[in-house]
Amino acid sequence: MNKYEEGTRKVEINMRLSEFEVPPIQDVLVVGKKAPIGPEAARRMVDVLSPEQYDIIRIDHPFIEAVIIRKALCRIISPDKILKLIIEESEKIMDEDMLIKMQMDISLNISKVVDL
Amino acid sequence: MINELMNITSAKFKFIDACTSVRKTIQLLDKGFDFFVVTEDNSILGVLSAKELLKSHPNRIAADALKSEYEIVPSALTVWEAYEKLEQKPETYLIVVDNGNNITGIADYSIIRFAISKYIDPLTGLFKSDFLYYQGIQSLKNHEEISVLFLDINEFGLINKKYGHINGNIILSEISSLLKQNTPPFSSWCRFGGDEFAMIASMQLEESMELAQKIVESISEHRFSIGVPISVSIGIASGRRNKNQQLNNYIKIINNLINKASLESTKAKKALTCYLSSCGCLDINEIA
Repeated sequence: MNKYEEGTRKVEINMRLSEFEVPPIQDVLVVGKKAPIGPEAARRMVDVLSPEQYDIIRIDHPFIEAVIIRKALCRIISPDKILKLIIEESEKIMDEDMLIKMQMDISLNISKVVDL
Repeated sequence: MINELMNITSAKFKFIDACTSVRKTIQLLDKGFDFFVVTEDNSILGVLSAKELLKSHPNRIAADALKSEYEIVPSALTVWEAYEKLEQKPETYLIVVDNGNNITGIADYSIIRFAISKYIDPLTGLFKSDFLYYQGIQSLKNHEEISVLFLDINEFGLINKKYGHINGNIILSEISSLLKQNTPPFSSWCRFGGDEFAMIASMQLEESMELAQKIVESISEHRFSIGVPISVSIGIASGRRNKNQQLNNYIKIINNLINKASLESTKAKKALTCYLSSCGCLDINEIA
């Protein structure tokens, strides 16, 4: 009869730590029509985590249901213009099942000439 | 005769919180619930059925699966009234409440359409005579003058004997189409019996005479597919009510008017030149 030697089993553990982002959705969240989180759930989440900092804009689009956008951005650029930009870029990469998180940096450059 | 919503709505509904997941709600479908009334802070946000649930991601909350509108209606609302409401907005749910404002059932367009289909004549697509009573009661409640038009196909028995009943059915079907085409949108013809059709409308006698004339002419001028000329006779009975006087027996009034119009249609057959006859405008309070 053959004899078997018992082998060893090891578990390797890797840990990756990073700071939890508050708010977790950064500047913009684009919600697909069949995304796992709908705009109402997202609204409740941001209302709890970052009250009064985001607007939810429901849109009429073939596969995008809503855009959740940081209010501060809309104070710099009008919501219509910024929404057009967001949708234009999002629809190139997303489908109705997806949620897209977007970071948006806006720099305002001002140059003025004054009389000496 | 006139079915009310309380008899046809689905009582298999359940209240769920706005944050209940779609996944959990779908599991409740297996327990026999057809509809879910989504609530938050004691107020209703909307209604969900399998239709919305199966379209939504299971991870979503009930508040995010809501797409349709709802309307709260009394349980005494008739099926016809519900049908008229939902025909304009078929995505709307009707939440049916009793006198104590308790929800007793939910109805959607498919439930109402199924209930209404029992009142639709399969050959002509027109309502059966039950609809006349609904139309008549609505007209009597809201208007001072109503008219009943009663249409009878001339010599239809002979046509059936000569050309067969299948061709007779083709004629009935073509006449129904002509009636639909020539009738204003606010009123509808019903198939009353074999070759008899009737309509109740909030029209004055002169208006209803004009409409009857138009229908008689359009049917005479129509080239029927079996190649036989067909004519019809229409009897008209109008009634005017004094709105200050209370009416109690609507059904009796409507029966009286239909009966008078049908007798007039028999007279109209003898008036070979125009096939129209009217008993004039009656005082509704007298025939009530």
